[in-house]
Amino acid sequence: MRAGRRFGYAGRTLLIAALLGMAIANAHAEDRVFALEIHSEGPAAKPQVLAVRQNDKVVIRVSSDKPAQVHLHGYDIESDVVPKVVTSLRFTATATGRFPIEIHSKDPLEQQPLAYLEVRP
Amino acid sequence: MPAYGHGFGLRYDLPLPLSLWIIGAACAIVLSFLIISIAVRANAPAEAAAQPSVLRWQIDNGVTSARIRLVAQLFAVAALILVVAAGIIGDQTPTRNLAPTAIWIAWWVGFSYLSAFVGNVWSVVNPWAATFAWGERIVSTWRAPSATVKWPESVGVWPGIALFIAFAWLELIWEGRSIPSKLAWLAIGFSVLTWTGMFIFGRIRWLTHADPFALAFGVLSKFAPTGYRGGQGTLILRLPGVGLVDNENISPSLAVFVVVMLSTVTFDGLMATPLWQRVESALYVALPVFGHSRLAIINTAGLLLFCLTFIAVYRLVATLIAHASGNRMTPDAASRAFVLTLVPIAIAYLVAHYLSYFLIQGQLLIRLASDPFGFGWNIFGTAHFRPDIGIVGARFVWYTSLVAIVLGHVAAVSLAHIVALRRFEDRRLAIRSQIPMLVLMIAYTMMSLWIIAQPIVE
Repeated sequence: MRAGRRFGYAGRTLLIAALLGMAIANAHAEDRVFALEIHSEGPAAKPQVLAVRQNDKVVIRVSSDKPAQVHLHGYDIESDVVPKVVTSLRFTATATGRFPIEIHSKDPLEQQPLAYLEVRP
Repeated sequence: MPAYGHGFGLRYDLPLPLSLWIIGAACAIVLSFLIISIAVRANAPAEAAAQPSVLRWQIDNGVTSARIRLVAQLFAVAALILVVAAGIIGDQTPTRNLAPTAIWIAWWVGFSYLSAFVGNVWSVVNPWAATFAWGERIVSTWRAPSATVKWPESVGVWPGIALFIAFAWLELIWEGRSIPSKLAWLAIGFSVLTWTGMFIFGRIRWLTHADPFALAFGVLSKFAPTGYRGGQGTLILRLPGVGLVDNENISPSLAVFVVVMLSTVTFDGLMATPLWQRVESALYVALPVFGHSRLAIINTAGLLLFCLTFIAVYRLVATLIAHASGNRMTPDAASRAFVLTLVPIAIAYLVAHYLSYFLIQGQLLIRLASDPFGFGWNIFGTAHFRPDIGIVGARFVWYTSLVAIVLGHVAAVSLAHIVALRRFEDRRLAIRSQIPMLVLMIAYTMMSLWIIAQPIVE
């Protein structure tokens, strides 16, 4: 076999393997959808933990019975939420970590976060 | 639209997975016993290391030349003035103002790392000491320096301990800790206190007995690979940790200072655990009499109780060491001889707990360098830089933390063994005296591991 043809055969195999590998890796990146509710009588007992894997495409649907601002720290995504309208926060979870999701409202008693987004490697 | 509002000082670490916790704990324990068993047999290297002159190399004196010191000090003074100015006249949003980031991240965490891994840089650049020294030189050309008040021997470093606890309170509990103007006024107040103290008692005496930062960075820098031989003399290079066995000058109150410092570092992590949140909530509900400042009071009590517990536990261990040595050492002497060997565990915890925080939140400095006051400037063109929260991934942080904690533990156990060898003639006696210390170190390391395995709760 000539050297050129041997190289071509190995090169094609490598390319297919690489493409397959990338396809498999991306196949593991899922679309994740979560729902969060803000209640005017105060935060729920314990903050929810929204667990995703790195590179997942995340949608967090926030609803509230009073006007509020929801803020995902770290990714720094902020949005206003009005009653009877579902607001969606959409992003790709590229960075790992545990990120608080907080409500900014006039009420100073809401000390604890609404939820935590955990992006696992 | 990115929101650079509150949310200053958040940590985004994922809890250490259980499997890694077990591996870390197992490594710490197995390596500890390995070190002790090696010590029982071949002790020549350790005994050699116990000699004061080995493992230290003199390096060029150029680093400490007066001109470099002066430039560094001028930088430090300029930075202090800039931070205070930013705090007072700048935008009061914490993430838009230079002051909070410069103080808590660049200075407190930054100098802790510098002190532990490079050397006692703070003793060179301390702006308060530098300005006072310049003032002394100017004033002394007109008249002789005024007589200073003598520092009573029994007072020791207790004022430094009190000020350090106050600082820990400001860092962990004070609700004004991310407000730029409050930080600026605090810095001004500290300046007045420091210069007054230096004026009354003498600059060096104040720094070595009452300045909490000179004391804290000084303790950390005993681990560092550079140091001074004989006070201000020649600069030497040494193996990390070797400086911690030079414990001839540890006074009883300085031993307490070291334990208090370690306890506040650990309490910082403990405060963010779900366990502490449950304690807080239970006490909050049970003590309505304290009203609005309930949380602050509960956490203050927690901080003080934690310090006292650490002091009591260490005292107990020192007493056990004294007994195990057949009373050749008093508990006091044991306490002073071994306290520094705990420092590597604290340093390891500082790495595990703060490294990703330093690398992620520290990136704010890039933006703040162009716009320190939050006025919309763009001096270096970086005013719209967005910190990359993925600069270090969770896995990197886990493995770094684990390696740091295990290495810190190994260093502590080894150093305690070296100290014991220097104090006791009999090798077997030295090893027997180490058992209480070993138990303490394993417990302290387990606590550090446990804290970083907890999910962070705001």
